[in-house]
Amino acid sequence: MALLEIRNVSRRFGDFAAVDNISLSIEAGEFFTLLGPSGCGKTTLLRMIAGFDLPDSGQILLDGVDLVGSPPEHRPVCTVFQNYALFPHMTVSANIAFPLKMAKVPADQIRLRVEEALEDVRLTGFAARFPHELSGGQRQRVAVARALVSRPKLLLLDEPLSALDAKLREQMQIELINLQKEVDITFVYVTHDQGEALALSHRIAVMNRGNVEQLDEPSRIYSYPRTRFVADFIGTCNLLDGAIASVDGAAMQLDVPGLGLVKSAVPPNAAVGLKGTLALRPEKIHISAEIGTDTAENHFKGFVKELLYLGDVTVYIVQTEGGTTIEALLANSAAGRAKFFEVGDMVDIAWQFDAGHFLYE
Amino acid sequence: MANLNRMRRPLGLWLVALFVYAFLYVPLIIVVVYSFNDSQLNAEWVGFTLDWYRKLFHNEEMLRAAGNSLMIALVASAASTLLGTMAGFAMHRYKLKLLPLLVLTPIAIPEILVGVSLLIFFVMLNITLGLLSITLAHIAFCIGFVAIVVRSRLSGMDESLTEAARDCGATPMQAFRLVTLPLIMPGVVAGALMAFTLSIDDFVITFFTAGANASTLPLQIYSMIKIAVTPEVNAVSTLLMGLTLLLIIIASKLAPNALRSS
Amino acid sequence: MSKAAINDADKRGRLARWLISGPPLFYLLLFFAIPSLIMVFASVRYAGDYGGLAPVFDEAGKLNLTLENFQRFTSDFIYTAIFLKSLMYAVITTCCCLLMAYPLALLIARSPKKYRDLLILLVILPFWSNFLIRVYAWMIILGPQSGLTQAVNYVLGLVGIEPVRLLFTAFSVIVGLVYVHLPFMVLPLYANLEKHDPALVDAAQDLGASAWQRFWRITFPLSLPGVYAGAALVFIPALGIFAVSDILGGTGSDMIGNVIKQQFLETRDWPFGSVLSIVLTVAALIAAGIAVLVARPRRETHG
Repeated sequence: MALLEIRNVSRRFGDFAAVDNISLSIEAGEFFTLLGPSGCGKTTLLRMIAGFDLPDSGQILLDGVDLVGSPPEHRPVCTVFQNYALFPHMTVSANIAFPLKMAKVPADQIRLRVEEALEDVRLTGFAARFPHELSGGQRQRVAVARALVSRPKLLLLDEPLSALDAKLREQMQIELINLQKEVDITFVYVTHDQGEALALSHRIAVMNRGNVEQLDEPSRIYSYPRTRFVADFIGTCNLLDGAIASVDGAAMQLDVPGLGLVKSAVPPNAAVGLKGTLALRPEKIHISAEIGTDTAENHFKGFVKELLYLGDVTVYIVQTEGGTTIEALLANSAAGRAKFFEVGDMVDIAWQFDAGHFLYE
Repeated sequence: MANLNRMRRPLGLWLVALFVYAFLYVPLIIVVVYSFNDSQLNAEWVGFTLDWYRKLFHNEEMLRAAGNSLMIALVASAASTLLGTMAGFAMHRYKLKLLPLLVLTPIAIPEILVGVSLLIFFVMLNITLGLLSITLAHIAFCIGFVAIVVRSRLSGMDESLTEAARDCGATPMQAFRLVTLPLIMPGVVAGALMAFTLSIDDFVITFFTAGANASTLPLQIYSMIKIAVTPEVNAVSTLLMGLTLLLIIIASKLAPNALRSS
Repeated sequence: MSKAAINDADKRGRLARWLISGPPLFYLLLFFAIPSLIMVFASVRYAGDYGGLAPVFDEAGKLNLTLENFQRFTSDFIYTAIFLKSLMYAVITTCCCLLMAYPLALLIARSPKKYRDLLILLVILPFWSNFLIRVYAWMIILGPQSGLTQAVNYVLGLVGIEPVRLLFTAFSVIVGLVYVHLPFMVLPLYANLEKHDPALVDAAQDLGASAWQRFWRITFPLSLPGVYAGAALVFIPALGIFAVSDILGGTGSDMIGNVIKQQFLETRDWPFGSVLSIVLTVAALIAAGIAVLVARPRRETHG
């Protein structure tokens, strides 16, 4: 049985459905992420799990017991808030000890467990400091320590890294992954940063407008997005609209206006005439001055319309002969050359026929 | 840059400002100075004396009035701080309609209306006018001030702190006691001090609810001004000003940020 | 099972709400709302034989109510005159306070940050002294033997005018009113002016505006909410004051507050006093209503 089961949960604010009939299960010990743009309902859902909001309908079962109606202080669920919410008038150790005091844990045990918690987040020696004396990263760790010290069944994290700068964020991401493995507690993580979600999670639920668009492992979400929204939201993706022109065994031909006939892998239930979108990741596109023909690949000619030099890679926006622009990504690792092409250069682009993923309703 | 600043604060502005400050302080300084004047009339400086202060401390009525004022202020400020904090918290937390109206109106309308309506009320209920009626009246108009201060302090507080407390296992009562209350305490203290000062200083409402026998310091001062103006009034005024100044200094040491607007 | 838990949570929430808002609500209903309603009701009753209020039902059990108190207010012009005079005094006080408070607030708002708190504290400090003391101080200054009065009369004598009395006149009442209410005008103005972005005035200067134009077209319009707040905080209390006119005023400078006090404590005609109180309340509420209305954000239609 799953640790947390969300069954048909809905939450409306007037006419607006923040959470629209969502059902999903979260397994014990996993790092589960709710990913989506602002307003998609991920924070609302998290708050309902924590107990700060009541669903209009549905059940939230933790180990088979419905949490709805139970106040936050009775739930074996702890939250790491976006702004950390550390009690400014208490020291670090008083903050961390707080849940234990509420649970009436004897004083000597409290001292021990607070020390352990500080060790876990690598803040030993900070016990007597006050929150305003700490840096952002340190405060974040105290917040995590406070949430973990009472050994909850579920840890909820509401965009905890959003206030940190990029370098620190990467560091904290690695620490969070290791921490989760160490304490073996189920994490439910909320973020709008798709890179973060891909890096941290065992599974991701991509949300949009109150619904879950796709729930899967990161690699599958990236390579096999199920909807146009997911394809566009995760990483960059070329989205080529077209209709199936012909099917031939394991491959099919797509008629993409503005580009031409594109060979693609056959999805289930393919039929001639079916309209959809081909999702093609830029890094799967081979770009060169001239590419030899290979029937397994799609070839097109075009010129470099724009380029973005990013240090480690360069993004080329190629305008094909048919008029469609395609984004291709190329590593700049060839020794001694900063970039391969200039704006205006004539190029060939090609990709394996099964590099793309056909999406349809 | 300095030039720019000077241009924004032209000389004319300085002069008017200084005049206004003088306007504010000179009258009070005169009161203090003449309290040491060895003359019955507040006209010319004759000589230095502490006679008026001596007379003050032998003035039975004055001392009794001062005692009454103190007692009333202590009780009224305690009760109105308690009720005002509850009101401020309720107004912040819940979307109420009646409570804010009742809390804020006594402050918005002229004091005389509150005084007069309470006079009718107490007489109708056959409550003898005296220290009790004064105290009850003071509580009524002090609640609003405390509520405003507490509410503004609460709205400046981070909401997620109470949520975090409950998330850590605290009941709403515990969350209030251990997290909210300590953080709004400067506001509560400021409200209490404000209520205390308002009560000690109050004249109008006390005037109507005191009846014939009870007297407070302001009422005493009033009758001295109307009936027999002697520099004893100056002396008691100076002492009162000194006391208020002392209270403010204590307040600023206890709750350094309480009296600031934020 | 969770339905019951939700109901419990609801009930607990509602109970907490009553426990917290209940006591202050109850206290104010009892000691403010009900007395106010009683006073309104008193305006249609007869005065008692020895003052106060006559019973609502007379010996025969009939309702003993009347509108004659209201009629008296409207028919006897003297009361309307006093009310209008109070309005005028309040308006004059508000204007004087504005003229004096504005430059001061402006100066403090533009001073370096470290001085501002101190400067504002210096404005508030006199306010913390007893109200009566502040009024009494002007008795001394405007008294017949004071230096000021003598100086003024000396100057007037030079021009050939009879010596005037400064105390117990409309003038002394206004001075007292302004003195007592000045901090109430300074504070909201300051709170507003302090938040002004200095860049706006600099930009105007950059575009060629003179000092007066910068003030009149940029600073003043932006400060209007503060002006309205201060005006309300001065006008409404000043309207209902009686102590200032009682101490500093002569017979001709009675305000409606004085009349109300007389009716309640001397003449003991409580119903009529209640009528006057209602008139004052209505005026105060109208003023408050106007203040709220004008304080609402307006749209600038053109530059």
